[in-house]
Formats: sequence, C-alpha cells, structure tokens
Amino acid sequence: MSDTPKQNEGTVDGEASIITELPVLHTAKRLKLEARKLDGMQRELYSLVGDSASPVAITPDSKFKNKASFLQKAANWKLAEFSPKPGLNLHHWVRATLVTENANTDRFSKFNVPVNVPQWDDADYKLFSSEEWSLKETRYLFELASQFDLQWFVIADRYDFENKNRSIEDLKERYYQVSIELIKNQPASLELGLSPSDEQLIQSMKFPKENELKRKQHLKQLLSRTPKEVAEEEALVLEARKLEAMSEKMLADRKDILRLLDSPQAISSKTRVDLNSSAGVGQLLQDLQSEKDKENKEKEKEKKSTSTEPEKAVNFFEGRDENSFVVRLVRNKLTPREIAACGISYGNTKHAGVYLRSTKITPIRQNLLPKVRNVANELGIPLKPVMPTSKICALYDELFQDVNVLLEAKKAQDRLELEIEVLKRAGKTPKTSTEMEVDTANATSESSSTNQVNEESNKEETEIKEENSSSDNQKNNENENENEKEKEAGDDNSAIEV
Amino acid sequence: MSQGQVYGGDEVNAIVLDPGSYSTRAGWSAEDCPSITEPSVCCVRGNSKKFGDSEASIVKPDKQIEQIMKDGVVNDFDAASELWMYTLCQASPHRSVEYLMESPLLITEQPWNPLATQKKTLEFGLEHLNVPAIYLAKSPTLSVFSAGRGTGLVVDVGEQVASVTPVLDGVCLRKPARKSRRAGKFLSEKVLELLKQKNIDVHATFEVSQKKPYSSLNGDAPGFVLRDVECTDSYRQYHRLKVVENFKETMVQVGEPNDTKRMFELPDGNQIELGAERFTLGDALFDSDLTTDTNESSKTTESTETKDSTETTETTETTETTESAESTETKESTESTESTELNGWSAKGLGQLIVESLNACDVDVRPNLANNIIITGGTSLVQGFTERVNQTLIKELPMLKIRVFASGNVTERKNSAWIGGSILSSLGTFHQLWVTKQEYEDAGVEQICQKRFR
Repeated sequence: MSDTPKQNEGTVDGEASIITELPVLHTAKRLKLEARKLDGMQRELYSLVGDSASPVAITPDSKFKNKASFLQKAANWKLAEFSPKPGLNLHHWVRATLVTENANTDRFSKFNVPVNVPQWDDADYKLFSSEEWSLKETRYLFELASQFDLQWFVIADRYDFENKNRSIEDLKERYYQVSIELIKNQPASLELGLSPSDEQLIQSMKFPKENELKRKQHLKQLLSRTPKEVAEEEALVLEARKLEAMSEKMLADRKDILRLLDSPQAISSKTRVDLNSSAGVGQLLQDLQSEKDKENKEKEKEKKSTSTEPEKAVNFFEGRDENSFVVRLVRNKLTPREIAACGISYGNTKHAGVYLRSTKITPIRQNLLPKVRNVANELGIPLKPVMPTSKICALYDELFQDVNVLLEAKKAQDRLELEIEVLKRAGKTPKTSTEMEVDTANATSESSSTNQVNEESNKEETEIKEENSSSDNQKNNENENENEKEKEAGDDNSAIEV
Repeated sequence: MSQGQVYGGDEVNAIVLDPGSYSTRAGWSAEDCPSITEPSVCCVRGNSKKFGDSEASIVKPDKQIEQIMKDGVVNDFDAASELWMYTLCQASPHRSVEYLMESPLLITEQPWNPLATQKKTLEFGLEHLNVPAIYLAKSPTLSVFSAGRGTGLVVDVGEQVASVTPVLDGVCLRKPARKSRRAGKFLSEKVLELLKQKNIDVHATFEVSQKKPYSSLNGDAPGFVLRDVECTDSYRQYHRLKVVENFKETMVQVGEPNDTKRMFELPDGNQIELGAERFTLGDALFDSDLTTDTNESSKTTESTETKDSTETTETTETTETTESAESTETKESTESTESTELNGWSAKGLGQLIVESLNACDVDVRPNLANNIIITGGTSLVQGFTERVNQTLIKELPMLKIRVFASGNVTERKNSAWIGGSILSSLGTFHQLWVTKQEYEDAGVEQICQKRFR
C-alpha cells in the first residue's frame, strides 16, 4: 500500500480508473495536503508543471528525526533515600511525584521470597532418627537447604560434613523423608488426620531414589556414547524409517490389490448366490455351453490348419520320387535318427518363410534381464546359444523358463519375508481377514511354484534352490501359524474358506 | 516496555572494584566499562608505595615493581588495599574519598579466595573506606551475568590463572571447578624461553636510545645503542614483559599449524620472523602432558626441515634448538606436574580442564553447561583460541551440544567480571544482598564470611 500512492503521484489522472477506490482517495488526499504545504518557488513550479509532475517527489522527505520540542516541562526527579533492608539506606533517583507517595519503600522487596524449609527442634529428631544420619548432620543439611534455597546441585556441591561422601540423591532422600515425617506428625494432622492438601504435599515429596539413580545412569550412558556408536544408531534409525516407509507402501499396494480383487469377488459371490435360483442355473449353463462351443471351434481350427499343410506340400512335390529324401522330409516321414542327424525340426507353422532359429527362443523380459544374466553367469553359459541347434534351443527355452519361475519365486519370497517382518514389528496390530487370505494365497501359490522349480531344476541350480526351499519351509510354517490365528479370528474367515 | 515485564534496574551509585591479576579496574555501576584500569603492581621506593600506570613508567634507580596478586588472589594485602584506595579515588569525582563513603562497594573475588583475604577485604571496605554496604561477588558469576545468562561454564584465562568454573543460577560450584597456571604469564615465559633459545635479547623500550632495523635470525649485526639507565631488575623485567605482551598479541596463534610467517620488531630494531613456532607457543596453553609436547615439537621440526631443506646449515640449527626446547620442556613439565597438582592446581591443558570440569558436574546439568560455555580473560584473545576450544570440546564430548560464547569486543572480554558486577549492582533485586555495616558489626566478620561469601 505504501508504494502505490507514490507511484501514482505523477499519473493520477491517467491511471486512476485502473486503481481501486481506496488508493485513489488516499493519493488525492495526499496531493491536497502537499498542495497546501507548497509555497513560493515550489508552488509556482508546481503550477507550471501541473498534475503531470515528475515522478520524483517535489517535497523532500527528511530522513532525520524532528527536532525535539521542549514545550513540555521537564519532569522533576529527586535523589531519594530508600531502605532495601534494615540498616541500609541507599539513594536513587525517583520522579518527584512518586517520592511523596511511597517514600522509603523498596518496590523490589516483594521479589525477596525465601523458600519454605520446614523447621524442627532436637525433640523432633526421634521421628526420623536413623543410624545413617545423625542429628547434627540432619541439622546441617537443613541449614544448607535454607541457605541455598533448595538448589540441590549447589547444596551437594557445598556439602562438607565430616568428609562424608553424600550424593545429591542421598541428600534429597533424607530431606524429603524428614519433611514427610514432619508433616505427618504435625499436631493438627495427628488430631484430625491428614488434610487433603497435606496428603498431596506428601505425595509430591516422595523421592524415588532408585529410579533417580537409574535415570542418571542411563543419561550418563547416553552422553558417553562414542561418535561411532552414535553414527551406528543413526544408521539403524534410518534403516527403521526406510522399513516403515516400505511397509506403508506395501500396505497401500496391498489395499490397491484388494480393491482390484474385490470386484471379481463380488461377481463370483453374486453368481454363487444366483445359483440358488433357476434363472441363475440357466445362466451358468449357458455360460458353460458357450465356453464349450468356443473350445470346439478352436479344436476344429487346429485340425484344419494341420491337415491343410501337408496337402499343399503334396501338391507342391507331386511327381517326385516318393522315397527321395526331400519328399520324405516334407512329408514328415524321416526316421527319428535321420531327424536327429540332420538337425531338422518342424517349426511353428504360424511363421511363414525362413527365420533364424535362435530368434525363436522365448525372449527374456526386459525387467528381468539383469537377474537372468546373473544366473546365466553363475551357470557359465551365454544368454544366446552359441550353436542354436534345435535341441539346444529347446533346452535353452526350458532353462530360461525355469529361471524365470525361480526369479519370480524369489521375488515373492522376498516380499513375503518383508511382510512377515513388518507384521512382526507391528506386533499385535490386528489384520483384516482379507489380508490374511491374500497372504496365504500368495504363500501356497508360491510354494507350489518353487516346488515345481525344484523338480525341474538343473544340478547347478539346486544349491540356490535348497536355500530357497528351506526358507520356504520356514515361511510355510509361519503361514500355518497365521492360518491358525486366522481361524481364531472368527466369523469373517469362514466366509473366505467357503 | 511491554506489559507484565518489570524494569529491574535500580541505580544506587554503587562502585565496582575488580582486582585482577594483571590489572585492577574500578568504576561506577550501570556503566558499560570500568572508568579506571590500573596495573596490579606496586612501585616501591624505600618506604613509599606508589601506584598507577604512569608511575610504573617513570624510571628511578631504586624503583622496585612488585606484583600485588598471586594466583589470582591478593598476595600482599597492605599494598592491595592501597592500590584499591588509589584506583577507587581515581574513579571518584575530584578524586575524593568522601564520594566513595556514600556508595556501596562491590568487589569481585575468585572462588578460591582464602577466608583471611575475604575478612581483610570486608574490613577494608567497611572500616577503612567506611562504605555503607559491601558485597563480595565471585568473578565467574559476574562473567556469566555479563554474558546475559544465569547459568554457564566460565572459562577464564587471565594473566596468572586459567580457571574453569561451572555457574548454576548465579552460584559457582566448587567441586567441579578446575584451575591451572597455564595462562598469560606462563605464555610470556614460554615466549622469553623461545627468544632465549634463538639468542635474542629482549630490551624494554626505555632502554633503547637508538635503533636500526636488523634481523638477528638472518645473522645481521645489531644496530642499536642502549641508553645508560640505572634501574632495578624488577623494573626492567616489568617493562620487558610489556614488550612480550605486544609480541604475544601479534605473533602467538592457536590452531592448525601453518608456515605463514609473521614479523615482529622488538624495541631495539630486531625483526623477528617466525612461522610454525608461533603455534607451538599457543599450543602450550592446551597441551597437558609430556607426550603431546614432544609430538608438537617433533612436528615443528619436520615442518622446518621441509621448509628449509635447501639451506642445510639453517636446518641443523633449528633442529638443535627444538631439541633443546624439548629437553627444557620435559624438565619443566615434570617439575610442574610435581609441584602444581597440589592444592587443586592442575597441570593439564585447558581443553582437558574444561572436559574434566564438565564431567565432574552432575549429569543433569551437563547439557546446559555445555551449551553455555563463556570464554573471558585477556589471554583468551590469543588468535584462534575460541575455535580451538570449540573444536577440542566437540571432539572430546561428541554427545553434548557445545556452544561457545566469547564476546568479540576486547574490552568486554578483558573486563567481563567488572561488567557483570556493574550489571549486578544496578539491579533492584540485588540491594537486599548488600552486607551493611550494622550486620557486619552485629554478626562479626567470621560469621558474615561463612554465611554469605563461602
């Protein structure tokens, strides 16, 4: 706001319409005032220049303070005597008006509040007599306590009674113990029992020495850590945070999955319900029928494709010697030995034309490539066969499919392990039944797949698998446990089991 | 002033006297620096004792200069009381004693000030000077106040004593407090030792009548003419130490040693150029035991060797000198460990002293103290001092958050105790603490000292 009027000074008429009402009023006011102030040359100059004045302000703004005006009468001050404590008269300057009102009183005396330390005489000592603390020493402690206003660090620092080694906790314990006894044995409380306020006071005075010592011990340990330990701890905390973040992400992911799973479930449950009615059964029947039809059609198609091919070939090679190699080859009548010797294979008929056999090996998925490469390195084989004979290609295909399964199993295992870890950390946070279901489903599918892998695996792979399977077994156990839990969980689960 | 806050000042024209081991300061309370600063020495000629900087700079054949303070406390109380009287009168208008007699007097003292001196001080104030009220305030407490705090760990490195004192809510703790003699005077002796090894004589300014710049380290012939002045040894020594003080201000440095050369010209025109040795001098404040001492000197030999590898003659010379330095240092430090461990005087370096003191405090107050480390004292103005303290503590106490407060203002650093006294004695709530003459007469010195100032 402060800027706008200044900018507008020169261009008031031109831009007034653009600017909102308030600043316009403001500037107008200021201009008026300025106009009134101007005199002599400045006014002449202003009348010449008019409203289209230069952007620079004509009246100079002084940066300095105004001259002090001495119109006011100077306040009267007096050197007054006052007495902050008996026997001491000091002088200070006070406003003359105040001197008469409250002479000789010190306005700071109200801050002089001593701490209330209980008083007792030698007869009271029997209430809290102890072998550890003599009458003299107890008296000494109370003197120090009142001298240093219960600043325990200072009291402990100055404490010097017959060279006794008393810790700050010892002193506090004794002091509060004595104080409690004194309150309990007040004449009033002996007659009428403890008043609520006294009881509260006693509660607040109870000094747990052991706890205090333990706390200090812990604090000392905390302060005496080495930088290395601190760094380690920090790293651990960081790790934990990461884990937490991961678990959160995992839970979110799982929720998403559940949401996705929910819709088909809803449908299936719907069909299940519908089975009770005749219409539903009819629907199901229709569905099954259509599916069967589809299958039949596909079969027919396959039959057609296989039957047409040789016919064409026969047409192509008509008139040739039935026993010639080429004809026998095309007619697929070579002996297995011949096939093996020539390395002939009958490729997928879908692909027309000539192609490199090696290109027909199932390609490795891009995201699995590094892992698969690792496995291949471990096995000591290249990713693409050097000599892509049909046999080798087939084996390659098989191997890499196995590897794929293995990797997926591993991934699933890792994820499950993480979940178990997270759940363990979370402790007794209750799981929803649906979550449990997913867990078990994952576990079963995964374990079965790994078993498959185990059966199919090569010798080189067995080592890895063994590790895997052992951890799998563990996991299965855990999953079983979880299943048990789930059963305990109750009604919802029964629905899932159905 | 905003509502709810009370202006705590109540000016009563108190006088604050801060007798330090190097200088004695006096001035009126509520001012920001002492109006008078005089050296804590006494010029004795026959039976007469005179004081003041100007008196100390006039040469007389029989003038002896005596130190009034020893180990931070009064050594010669008669001389001290005369010096205080002199200084207070200097601060008073028209130098009259009458003005003083109307004002309460606040005198600072070190926490280890003996009972006898305290008694004498009370006597001096209430009987000799006849002030209406007196108070003895502990220097570390006042330093904490001058830093605007109530709690802190005061590291005071003065002329004679380097002390570390924890202060809690304005009360000095005694048991965790540490002190050593590795302070300004110690550093001056180290400087003189080093110059002696290099065959450099230090002449006081008044001894030299003519001078020409030369460098004895480069083998130049001296070109100065000495004045034929008759004076006592103590007088000469006092003025030579003044030269050393200038030397310390310019040359001595603490921190990572480097070979940056610096030059200092003695009053006789001798231009001394030193590199890494400047750091050896400064490290003497921080090194505590033998092993580090030898390590440091061997380090410097290495550096000098690499530096002067072309000039073989020079190299042999320097190694010789550092070797001799080592031997003298080892001798000294063994002596000092024997003699100074007694009576609470530590032979350890300052860093160790601070760590020890902090660890001796209750674990509950440690973080607070470590967060309020207050550095004061003239010798703490050595270059790189604060950084070194900070680094040492961060290294030694990794779990505590260290925050070092050191005023950047030289006057504030030198006079922090006085400034704290000035603040304290102008507070309205403080006036109940004055010890009045009546109390003094009723209770007796002994009781007052025991109850109020122990």
